Amino acid sequence: MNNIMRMLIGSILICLFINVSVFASSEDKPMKVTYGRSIDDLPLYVALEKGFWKDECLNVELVRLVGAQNIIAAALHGDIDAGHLDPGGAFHAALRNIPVKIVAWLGHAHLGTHCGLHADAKSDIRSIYDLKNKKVAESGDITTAMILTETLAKAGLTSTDINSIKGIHLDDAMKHEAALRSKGVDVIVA
Amino acid sequence: MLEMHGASRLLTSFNDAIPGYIFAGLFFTDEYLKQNPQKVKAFLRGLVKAFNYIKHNEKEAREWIPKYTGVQRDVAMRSALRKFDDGREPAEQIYRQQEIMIKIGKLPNKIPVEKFVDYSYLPQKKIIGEVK
Repeated sequence: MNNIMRMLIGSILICLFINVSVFASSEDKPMKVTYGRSIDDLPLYVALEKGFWKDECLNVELVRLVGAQNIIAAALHGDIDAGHLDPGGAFHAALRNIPVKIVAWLGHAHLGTHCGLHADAKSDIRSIYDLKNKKVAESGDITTAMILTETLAKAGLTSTDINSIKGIHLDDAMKHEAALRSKGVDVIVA
Repeated sequence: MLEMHGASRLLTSFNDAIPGYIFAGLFFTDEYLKQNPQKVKAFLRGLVKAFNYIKHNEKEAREWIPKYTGVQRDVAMRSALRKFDDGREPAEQIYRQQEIMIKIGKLPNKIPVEKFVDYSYLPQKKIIGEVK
């Protein structure tokens, strides 16, 4: 009888131990959030460094991942818990009925914003009205297409008035500088 | 950043082209939201506290940029930051950006904001005190 009692209690304890372990591991599992390793992700760095998520009993891990399709795929696959998307990516996700929701926006442009069209400092390009026939480097993504189109329209121009060079990305600061200095391009959308 | 190195001159900014341009959003899958609503709310409380911290302690906040980005400190301390409010943006601004995309052939039609945005997990402004 004693042996049976001991086996029974032992089995219960093992079950309890397994359940507690599973619970603990799910609680300790970090919440994985994507970021682009840019200055624009500052709120994420601050929340980590100031312990704002730790105060909420959350273990958040930043995962560097770029590209809307990659980020959405990672989320749907369960590799990440939250991701960042530009508005264009969010609109297209909604268009395709992808089951994700934007729960917060991560900032907007303002009067002090310096992202935009940059000309070589030594060039004679002084304003957007000097863009005609110039070589303009851009990433080719939706954001730069929008900004460029609106800017050209303000100057009374269209995309056919410039020589667009696609493939340079917003976060390639060193490449931007090199491209301008080499005179390979006249203007960069960055 | 380019201007700081003396390499460029800013002709026009994103804000000149599209005032109040929204740069990015943070999403969760519908399944995650359904299964972990309290976790998402806790995450967003922390995020909004960070927005407030940057608003009131910008210089201190900038000190963490080099650690996470590799950007030099002098650049980190002077680069323009986005404007962070409480995570919400006006629907009018979102639709304005959709209209521009439609105009340039990057979106076929307008999509209702409520189809892809859910602010219900964000804290009310009154609940989150400003961190100073």
